[in-house]
Amino acid sequence: MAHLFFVKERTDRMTSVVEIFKETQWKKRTLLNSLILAVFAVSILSLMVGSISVSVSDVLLAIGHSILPNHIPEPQYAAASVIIVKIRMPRILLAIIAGVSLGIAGTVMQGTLRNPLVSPFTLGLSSAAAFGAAVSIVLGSSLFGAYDLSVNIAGQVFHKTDVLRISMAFIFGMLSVVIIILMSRNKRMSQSTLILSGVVISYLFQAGIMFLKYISDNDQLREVTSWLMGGLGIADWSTVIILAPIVLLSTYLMMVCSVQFNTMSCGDEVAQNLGVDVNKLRRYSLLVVAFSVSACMSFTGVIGFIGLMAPHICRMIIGNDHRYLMPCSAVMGALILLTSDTVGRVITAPEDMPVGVIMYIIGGAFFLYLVVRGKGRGIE
Amino acid sequence: MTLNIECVRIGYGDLEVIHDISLKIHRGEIVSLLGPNGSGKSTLIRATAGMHKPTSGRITVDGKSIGDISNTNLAKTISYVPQQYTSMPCTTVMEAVLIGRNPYINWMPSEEDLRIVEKALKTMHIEDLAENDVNKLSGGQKQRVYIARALCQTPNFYLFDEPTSALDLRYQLETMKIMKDVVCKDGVGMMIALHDLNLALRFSDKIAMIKDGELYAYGNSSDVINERSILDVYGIKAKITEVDGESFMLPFGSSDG
Repeated sequence: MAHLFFVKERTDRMTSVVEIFKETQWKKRTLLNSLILAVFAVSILSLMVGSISVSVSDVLLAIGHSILPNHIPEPQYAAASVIIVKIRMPRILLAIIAGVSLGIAGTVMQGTLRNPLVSPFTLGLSSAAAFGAAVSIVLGSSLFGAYDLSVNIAGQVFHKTDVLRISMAFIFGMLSVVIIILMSRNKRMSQSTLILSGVVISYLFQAGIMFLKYISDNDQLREVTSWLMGGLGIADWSTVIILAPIVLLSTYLMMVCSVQFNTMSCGDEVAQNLGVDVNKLRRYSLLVVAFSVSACMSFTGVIGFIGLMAPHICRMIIGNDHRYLMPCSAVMGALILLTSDTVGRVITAPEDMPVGVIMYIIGGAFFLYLVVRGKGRGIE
Repeated sequence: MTLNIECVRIGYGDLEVIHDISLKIHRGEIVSLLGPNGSGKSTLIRATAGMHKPTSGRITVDGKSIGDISNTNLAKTISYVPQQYTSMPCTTVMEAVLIGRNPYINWMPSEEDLRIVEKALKTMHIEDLAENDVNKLSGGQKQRVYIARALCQTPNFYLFDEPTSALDLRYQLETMKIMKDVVCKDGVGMMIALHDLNLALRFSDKIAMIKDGELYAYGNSSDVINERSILDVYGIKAKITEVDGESFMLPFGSSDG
């Protein structure tokens, strides 16, 4: 009997690959759906709280009224419409957009360079963008004083200083990645040399930032520092209108390559044998995510942590399948940034606390919890 | 269908590593590449897999140069398992093996793809490990995972660079036996770089011996491996004996000592 029982137990345990695949699939989908739900819930909450609290019904009425003004009445609290639709909604959307962009960028960079420490920070993108912004803040009026560069987008006028700062940050952010891609054309360059070059490029730009801080006056110094800390205070519908299509398009372009990113995890030689043009894919994907991250950072300033940690947190839970890892990291990035910004808005209302302060604490604690808990798949 | 290496020369910069080698791999046969460290075995295998372009000569499948075959079609024709493998972060055995189907997959694998994965896991006797993390396996188990991944490519030709180096005695024999089975049942061709002359003697249909980037001998295993060739290529005195009708090589020591 005992023998029979043993045999039965074994056949029960032996599940087919089809079943195992379906089960893991379910797990991955559940994480993605829960994250999306969480972002939705936090968004509603975030619309309600702040220096002025708004009730759920007023939040829904304000949104409904702005879409169908003839069918849905205005909220009871008259100012709610302005607060919800004009101020809080774009800020929440910007948090989601920037979080998605950074989450995707981190996943793609770690995947294609096969290094768990890579993020927009380590490749020098953040420092380069910050340098661009600092140049425009400190030297802008002396360099471009004579030109009128103000722009009107979706009814929002961007002043000359804004336009200059945003475009300089974007141009330099892209520049750092272009330099790295050009260097990678040198065949003797190994992966680690490439990453190390990114780190060194980052130092070069930091030297520039330090110099600019040194020669700046008080107001400029304050502005540079606040840019380096990052924040979503600039949020406006025009920001959303500019960034949403860029981030959506780059997310789509990267999602299409998911299967190839999975193949790349086997190493360059095997990936090449499996039909992936490794170098081309690496350059292409770095360029696409750099475009999207530079665009977001040029508006928000430096936002760290997400690009590095969102992919790690998700990888620990569902593994390295990029078909799910990428969307999960994207939504995880959005969730971390949105939650941190909401907490920052509330605890020091009516002032904003820099988003990084809250984010590094919440995100860091959550990551350490995952590591200490010891379940799941581990980091590598 | 034949994998044909025609008068191939391969170099790194000014240094030529392979000097004018010609080989043919037919379906249904195992060709073993033998030679000391640094003789050019890995380079020849990498070039045959399309990783390294020969400086002259050509490598063809059914008369078509592999450079003219699209990446995806080449992936479906030739499967290559390198000597060194990359550690894969947070990946289960099933996921690692499934990657071998990627040339056939646009987005999600079909049930057919998953059945091929299951068959490969069973062939390599690792179906019980399907849900384990690849990084936590032993060296030998990992190697079997990578061979299973290659099987999933369902190619016409396999190229293995020292597939038995991380395996213990039992798994060396078992793996070679599995490969022989695959060659016989699926009618595929296989080129394997080996260090173990006895494994080569026992399992290969043909042997190519390489010395300093040149083809020293090429033919049936018993014709190629003899005391003279081992002395010439490896600098080792050896004796070939027969036990129960099978040939074995016994090394004695270097020719100068």
